Amino acid sequence: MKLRILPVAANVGAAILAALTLPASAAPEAPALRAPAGKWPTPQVLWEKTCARCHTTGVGPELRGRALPPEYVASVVRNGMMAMPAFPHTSIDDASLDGVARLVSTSKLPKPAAKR
Amino acid sequence: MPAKKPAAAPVPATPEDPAVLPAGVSAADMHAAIAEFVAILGPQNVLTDADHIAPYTKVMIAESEDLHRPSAVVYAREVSEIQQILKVCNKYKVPVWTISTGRNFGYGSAAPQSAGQVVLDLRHMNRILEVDPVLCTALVEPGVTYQQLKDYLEENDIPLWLSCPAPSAIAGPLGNTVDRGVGYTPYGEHFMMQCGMEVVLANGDVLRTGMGGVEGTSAWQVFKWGYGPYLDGIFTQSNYGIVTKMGMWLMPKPPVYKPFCIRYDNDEDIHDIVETLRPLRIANVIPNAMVFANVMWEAAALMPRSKYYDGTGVTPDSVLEEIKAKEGLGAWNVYAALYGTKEQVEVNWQIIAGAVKASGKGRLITEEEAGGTQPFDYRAKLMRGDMTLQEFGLYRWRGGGGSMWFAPVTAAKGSETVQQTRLAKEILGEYGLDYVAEYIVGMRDMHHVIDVLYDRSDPDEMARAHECFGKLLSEFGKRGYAVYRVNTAFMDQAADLFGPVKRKVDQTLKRALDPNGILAPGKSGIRI
Repeated sequence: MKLRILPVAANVGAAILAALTLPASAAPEAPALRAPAGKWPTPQVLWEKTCARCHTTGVGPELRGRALPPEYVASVVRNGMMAMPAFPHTSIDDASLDGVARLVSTSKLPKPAAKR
Repeated sequence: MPAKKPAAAPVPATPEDPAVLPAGVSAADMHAAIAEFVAILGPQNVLTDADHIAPYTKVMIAESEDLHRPSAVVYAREVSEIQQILKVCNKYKVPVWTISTGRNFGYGSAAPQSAGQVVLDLRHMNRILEVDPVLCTALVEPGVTYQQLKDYLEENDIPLWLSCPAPSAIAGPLGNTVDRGVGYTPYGEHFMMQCGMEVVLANGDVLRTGMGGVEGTSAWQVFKWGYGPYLDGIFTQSNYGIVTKMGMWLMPKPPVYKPFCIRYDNDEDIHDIVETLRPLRIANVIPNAMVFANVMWEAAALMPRSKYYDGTGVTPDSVLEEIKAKEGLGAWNVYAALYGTKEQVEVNWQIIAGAVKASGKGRLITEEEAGGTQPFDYRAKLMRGDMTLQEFGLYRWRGGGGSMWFAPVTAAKGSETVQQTRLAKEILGEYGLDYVAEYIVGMRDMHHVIDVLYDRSDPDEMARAHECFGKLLSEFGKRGYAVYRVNTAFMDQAADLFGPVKRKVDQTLKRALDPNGILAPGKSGIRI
């Protein structure tokens, strides 16, 4: 199908409506190409948008600064462990998993440790 | 020393024969079907090896993985590929279990209802096809995640908000909506905010619902009902077709957002909470899907229960009292929010404050008073459709990775919540399990969501959890209560609660639309 992002109407007048109306600048191009699922731009982005949401908030165990073997990290990501969900190749492909496993393995624990 | 590179399992050129077969399918037919899948998709998209199957086998429900182990996983990227796959499935009677992002935690995750089904993973179909900032709509494919959609809106400066379930960052809108999941914003009843679908039927036909069949229509994402029988509903919680596109309504970002909490000290306050807040919800003074979370749900966002209790079985009331006192939590904790202009929010805030004061109980807490602490912070995120996984804290409460959502529908009446709460606690207590619960409030109903948490590494506790869940369903059923959604282990038992005629109609539709029964047999108890 044809991809499209529709332009925004520009003639909204009343002040009360202005506060609730979207800006006219919001007319971007829709992504014409499908991005490969599971391929992350960098290990850091993958870490921040997935792993860190549990592993830096106290929900899951702290992983940084433990020199965890990357093979171990990769295995837990693929298979899951207890409450940790499993991530298939379509969520994190092998190259991205390799990158984030090495990132975790070589990471240092920031100081002071994150508090809730 | 540089870190050693983790070994990635190579994808074999030709997939090996599956370790498990679907019921009624011979090894020879399965072998032939796999070969035809490879011819359509290429070997890199047809996977039967243990490394690729493993992530689809991880479940949290109280049954062996072996009962839900797929035979193969296939990836499709185009509707035309799905049509060809279904032709093969019809030819060999091979069942296929479709997932979007596969994040149905506590409802069966990504694993099929029965062993041997081929998982059709649509994660690669991840295009955001359209966002209309004027009409505030989007059209997405199954593999689009909430995170991806949120990033897209932010990168393009489009001030629209999402409504997400708690595992927002890794789940996606299409899968959640077609399983009739809920979120926490004013758009929290996700299926109500869905508009238009594209569905691949078992015979390969591609149906567009609502206005979607009209040549040149501009109304596919704005008018839900189309003409004649309204069909979208039969493609939710069902196995009548594969949804490949879904329209949805998005909420304009309000000028002012005011999340708040109301803390209540006593378990029995649930009655007055419902009676005080229901009129405000129905009148839309409180516009969002607010929640009433109990103390253990709240505490789980902060810590494992071992911080206060290292025993087994039910967490004693004395421990819960200690947690309430030391962590500053209520027996019940209401989270709601106001959205609109400064004036609108101010007026509604005064109405709410007045109602709480008149009820004689409950303590209002604003975002400023909460000061960025949990659980307020993650609740505030959920009520504006932001990304968080903080609620995964539930899974560390007792540990062991076992979770099944028991979620009976409740009429929004205080007397009913008292009865349901008492009954749930009693049954869970018999099995040594905790009542970890929240009510998610619809317009006139509530989802009484109870996380049946157990240690999946302990076979005895897993067996008890399984038995407990069956008893919850049957005892609630005897009193006229049934769930809005259930995990793959209990779909038949839940379907029975809705009566034999409903089951017969479900089956009649199945036989008409999918005569070979190739689409997700067993989903919602529906088979040919």
